Amino acid sequence: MTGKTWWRGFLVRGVMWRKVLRWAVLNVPICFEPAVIAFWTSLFFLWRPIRRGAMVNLRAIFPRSTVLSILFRTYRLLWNFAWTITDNVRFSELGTVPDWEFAGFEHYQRLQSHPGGAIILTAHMGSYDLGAQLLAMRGDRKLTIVRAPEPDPETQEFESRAYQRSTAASVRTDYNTRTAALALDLVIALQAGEIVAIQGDRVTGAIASLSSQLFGHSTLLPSGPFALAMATGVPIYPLFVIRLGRRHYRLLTCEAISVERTGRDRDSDLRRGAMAWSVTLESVIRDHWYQWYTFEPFYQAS
Amino acid sequence: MMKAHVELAEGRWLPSRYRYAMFRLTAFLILRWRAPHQASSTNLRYVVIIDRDQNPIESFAFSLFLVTWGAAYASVAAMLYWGVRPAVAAGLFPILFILMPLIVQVVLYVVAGLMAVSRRAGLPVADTNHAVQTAVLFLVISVVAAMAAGSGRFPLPILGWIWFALLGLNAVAAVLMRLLGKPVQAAEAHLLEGSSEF
Repeated sequence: MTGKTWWRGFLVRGVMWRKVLRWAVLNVPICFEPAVIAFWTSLFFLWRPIRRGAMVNLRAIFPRSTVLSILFRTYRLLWNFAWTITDNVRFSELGTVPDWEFAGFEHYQRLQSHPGGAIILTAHMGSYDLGAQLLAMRGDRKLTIVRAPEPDPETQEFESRAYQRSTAASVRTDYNTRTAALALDLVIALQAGEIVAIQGDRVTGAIASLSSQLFGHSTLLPSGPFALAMATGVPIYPLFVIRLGRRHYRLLTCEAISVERTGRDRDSDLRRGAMAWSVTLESVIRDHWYQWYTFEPFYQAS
Repeated sequence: MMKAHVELAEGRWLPSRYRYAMFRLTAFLILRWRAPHQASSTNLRYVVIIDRDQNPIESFAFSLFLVTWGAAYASVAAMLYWGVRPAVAAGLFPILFILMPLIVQVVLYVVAGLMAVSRRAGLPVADTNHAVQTAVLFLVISVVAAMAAGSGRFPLPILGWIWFALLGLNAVAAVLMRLLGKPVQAAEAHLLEGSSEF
């Protein structure tokens, strides 16, 4: 960090907040934790760019809610977000694992016993890293996590080091920035019977996308998971990590989506898959809106 | 730290998942007399981690007590010693309740500062992870505050008594848990049968 740019660490996506969080996790006695998290949630709630992004999305999910109600919902969302990132750091620094419960266990079992590869399609909900760790601990297959890199290079470096410290040997992390090479790697992994986990609720950068509908708004979803499923013939399992309370998460596995080529119109088959995903995604977000951690508007302005 | 996981919802009442004797005793009583329900009766499956700091009730109860006690203490002290009128002191309480999560953090920064100074002085102090030292300093501060309250003007002693009553209750629970050692171990072992290491 040079003298000229040290302040960048304090921007919304800057590295300083991650460092402060890590320090807090290592220094705050457990019984102070709720009070400290309440304070920091309130502080971030007062930070306009964060609050505004969350409010725009909540307003789309609850168009009839009053401003006061949206503000309360925003606080609840930030409260959950604060706990989730704390749980992530607590896991990576101290190896603390939360309690889990499994919903849609029959689908989870099908995913684990599926003979070939499979794609897990998930959203920015609960803790992606804790969920991946649970899958790795309970299954015997390799798992590749595809994630978007942090926009800030220092934050990215800091987070990469944390992933390396905490991730099980059977979990590999890859970034969606190297599109063509990554696609090939993922096809090979799926053909080798591995599981590939992708976040399918947000399009960042120049990745390929499909238009779809979410809460009555036109939105873009990444097309990669559906193209991969079509190319390799593997099922897509929508899977969500939902925070239920302090150190308590639910792994919700939904019915598999299959994306098959039915004719010459490949895009239509891909869109059908994306539509099935958006229906599942919308239903899960509607029930668990307080932990859909998307702080930029999810829909395209008309 | 983490020992095992139990694939039963009842696992959440394992006394080993609690830090303070009061809560461990309560958990044991619930575990002992609660009608067991099998995980298979619902479509949910559980992985319950055994860790002394795992339970949310304990953590939230302590945090809420801390914040409420601190805010009440400061409001009453302001009324008694700084001449603040009772109505204003009552109005101060909710403000202090909101500010208390910030005020308790001062202890954190004091410990961090002390540790940094100790490190510079060449003392063998860890770089990070001072949660235990912070908790100890906080306990010392609150005991001193409770003792001061006990010898203060009414109604401040009530707050001191509440603090010492809680300490006393925890001490009694600790003695009971020691006496119940074997039944507690047996109940935990019974629940842990067939569970696996995480």
